[in-house]
Amino acid sequence: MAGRESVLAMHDLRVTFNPPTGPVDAIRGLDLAIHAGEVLGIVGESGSGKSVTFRSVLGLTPPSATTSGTITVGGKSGTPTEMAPEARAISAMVYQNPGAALNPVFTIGQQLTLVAQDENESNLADLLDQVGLPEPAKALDSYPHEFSGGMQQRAVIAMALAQRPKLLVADEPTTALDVTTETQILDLLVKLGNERQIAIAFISHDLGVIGKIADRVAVMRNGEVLETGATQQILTNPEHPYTQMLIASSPGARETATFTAADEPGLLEIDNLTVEYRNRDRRAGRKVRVIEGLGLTVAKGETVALVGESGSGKSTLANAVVGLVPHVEGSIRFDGQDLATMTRAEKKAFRSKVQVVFQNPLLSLSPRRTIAWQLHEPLRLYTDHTKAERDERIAELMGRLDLDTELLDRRPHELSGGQAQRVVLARALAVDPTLIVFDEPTSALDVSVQVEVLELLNELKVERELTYLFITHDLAVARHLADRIAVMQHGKIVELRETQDLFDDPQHPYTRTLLASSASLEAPAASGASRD
Amino acid sequence: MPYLVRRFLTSLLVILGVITITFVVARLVPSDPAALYAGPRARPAQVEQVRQDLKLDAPIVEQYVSYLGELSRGDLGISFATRQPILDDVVDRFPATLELALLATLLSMVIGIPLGVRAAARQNKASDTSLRLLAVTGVSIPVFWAALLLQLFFASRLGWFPLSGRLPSDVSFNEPTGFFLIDSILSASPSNVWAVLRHLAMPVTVMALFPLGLTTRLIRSSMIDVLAEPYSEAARLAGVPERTVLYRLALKNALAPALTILGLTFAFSVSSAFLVEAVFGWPGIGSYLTSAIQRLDFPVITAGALVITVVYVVVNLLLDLLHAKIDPRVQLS
Repeated sequence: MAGRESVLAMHDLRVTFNPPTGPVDAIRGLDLAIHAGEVLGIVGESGSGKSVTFRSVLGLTPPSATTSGTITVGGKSGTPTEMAPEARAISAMVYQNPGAALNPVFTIGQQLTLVAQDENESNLADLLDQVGLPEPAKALDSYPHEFSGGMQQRAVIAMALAQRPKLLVADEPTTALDVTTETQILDLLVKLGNERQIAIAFISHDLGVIGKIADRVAVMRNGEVLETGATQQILTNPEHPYTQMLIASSPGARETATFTAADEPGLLEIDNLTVEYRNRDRRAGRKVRVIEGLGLTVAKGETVALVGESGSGKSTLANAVVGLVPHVEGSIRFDGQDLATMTRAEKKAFRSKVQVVFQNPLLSLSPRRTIAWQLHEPLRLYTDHTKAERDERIAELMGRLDLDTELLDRRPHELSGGQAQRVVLARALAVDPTLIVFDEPTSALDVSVQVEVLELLNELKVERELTYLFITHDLAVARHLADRIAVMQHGKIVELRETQDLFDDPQHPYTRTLLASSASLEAPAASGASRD
Repeated sequence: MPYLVRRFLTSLLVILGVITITFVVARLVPSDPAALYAGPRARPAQVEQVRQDLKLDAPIVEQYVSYLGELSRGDLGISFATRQPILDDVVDRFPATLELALLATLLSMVIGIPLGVRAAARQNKASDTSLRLLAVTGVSIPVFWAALLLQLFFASRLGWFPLSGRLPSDVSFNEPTGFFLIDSILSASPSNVWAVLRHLAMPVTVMALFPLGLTTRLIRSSMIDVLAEPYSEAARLAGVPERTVLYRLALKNALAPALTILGLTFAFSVSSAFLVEAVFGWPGIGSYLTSAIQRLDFPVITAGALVITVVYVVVNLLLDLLHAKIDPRVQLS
């Protein structure tokens, strides 16, 4: 890399935020250079300063923040404030949530025209073609909401390219996308970077994704770069202990949970299940089948993971199992009882025996109530414990889940993501359930927290003889936890195998695609193991 | 368009509900409409005669049905007080109120939207803070008090504007629309237009205070939300001029939520016009209804409620259509 001209270089960059509570050092003396045509991966957990670094260089930090250091752009150097206009002139950004990065009330064409004043319409269509949007001429007249997430991200990339940037700052650009779309977007970025000699700063919390795209990696923590180096070297032979920890925490690197076969009859028996939603768009037919003739049996004490992309029907299945959406055909039996024919009293018992944990803990907790109130609620509903008994039960649960009892007086927004998800878990456990349905419970969490939560789930399962139905788009997470994995596509289970078998010898073509596009760290971890 | 048909039918249902409620309430009030109609010095026999003439002795359901029948023929009934057909009075006075309310809403938007955008663009700076203070003042000043202040200062002391009324007694022109601003322009006489404008100035200003403050605040807060969205940042980053970002890219997003409230404010100003009309001697529907309420002129009160309901329903429908026009994600289905 030496000798190559850098597109952007930062030397001793410092950023301090000045909230009313006192100054916070976000970036502490950071040195980083990015060269033409390279993909520089910046990896770190949330709060490590990986986004702030580039936002401050582009002058996007709030006015109250103070910056210092030297920024070099195109041979000119100066303070971050002085150089922000030059940095903005050569840069374009790709955001995490493509839906929010496009203005909802203007067509793609109108928005492209505004950012690319010197291009005419055929050039714009050509640009959309290059980012792989089908029917570019039609796409110009479309509004963002008419696109899928992947197509939206392609449009965002086209908007970025229209500015003819030398540097593309991609901030978690695939985090909101499903696995196959993620792969396509990564391939597209690499291809465009090569063709146009654009430097790409690829910011991600996901080492797996970084490993697939980056030429070089910079590992960040607490506003500092801990180490930089060629991707392969960092992933296989990390020097800094923190990098080693990050790689070890990455779910794909972990050993598979051992399968404890249960000979008992199924706790949850789903037979020939069909779920339909009414379609808003009449022209496309009145009803959409989201799940079609699905069968699945979950034995007591078992963890079954449902994997598949968004739209495959996994979440609908979760909702059907807990009785949140009705099914039109087939049956769901819990502990031998059919969900459809339960009496009121049986339904009530069922609702305490089956608990759900959703993806976003902040949406699962009432923002206005204290944590104590929310933990008391299920106990008030489903048990006749006295206040003292409930307090005792809650204290015991909090202790088990490593939650400080101080948190009881707080409200959800005062908790970290990991704490909030553990509160949700405590609430689910409070009523002694036998089955817990998880819908992407760790997707919103940082990698190291994610591993902690998964470990905790494994322990709790053994301690409390729980059964899990675990829904995830992340094969690595499924592998970490599940005894068996069911792969879902278009509302059907296309493959259902024991976890190890599925990874060793996938049968269905769709499973192979999923495995291939899953950004797992398997390779580096395996070679790391052979080194020992 | 099936959506429009459905909306039209539900609107009719709302109107029918309001008719029914006002009809029933008017009959429940402990007063004798026949006695009111006959006048204070009527003998019992005369009151009885009136009761038969007005069919007030018929069963209430029968009265209700015949009332609906009259309404469907466009007959709003006859005023107890003036013995005039109510429809004529409404047609005569409604445009005066509508002219005030429309101009006040227009004024508040023309001034309030740019103010709100400016305040949002300079969030928490001095100009933003003072604009917010002004907006709160506009919303909280009582209308009648502001009206009296204006009269005292601009009419009595300075004599810039006439104290009250819609036109000077020596000015007249044809009134094809009932909106004097339009009628005076059609009369092609600048002095007519000037006279109309001078009379409109103070009542419109007073009526615009509340929606002006509201518009400024609503546009400010929704602009702040929109400007924090990644797409606004992306546009600024791409070098789109700040004016374009504010007034084209962001404002269109900020307008939709604000419009809903503003439309309802317009409808509200029609029904609350009586205060302004009372102070300025404006011959609108508000002062007409006020005197009807004082005289317990039930047919007029019921008709007034009906007219105001229709205004609300129509404004709501227009807003929904406008909303769909602004935001492509809103589907009329």
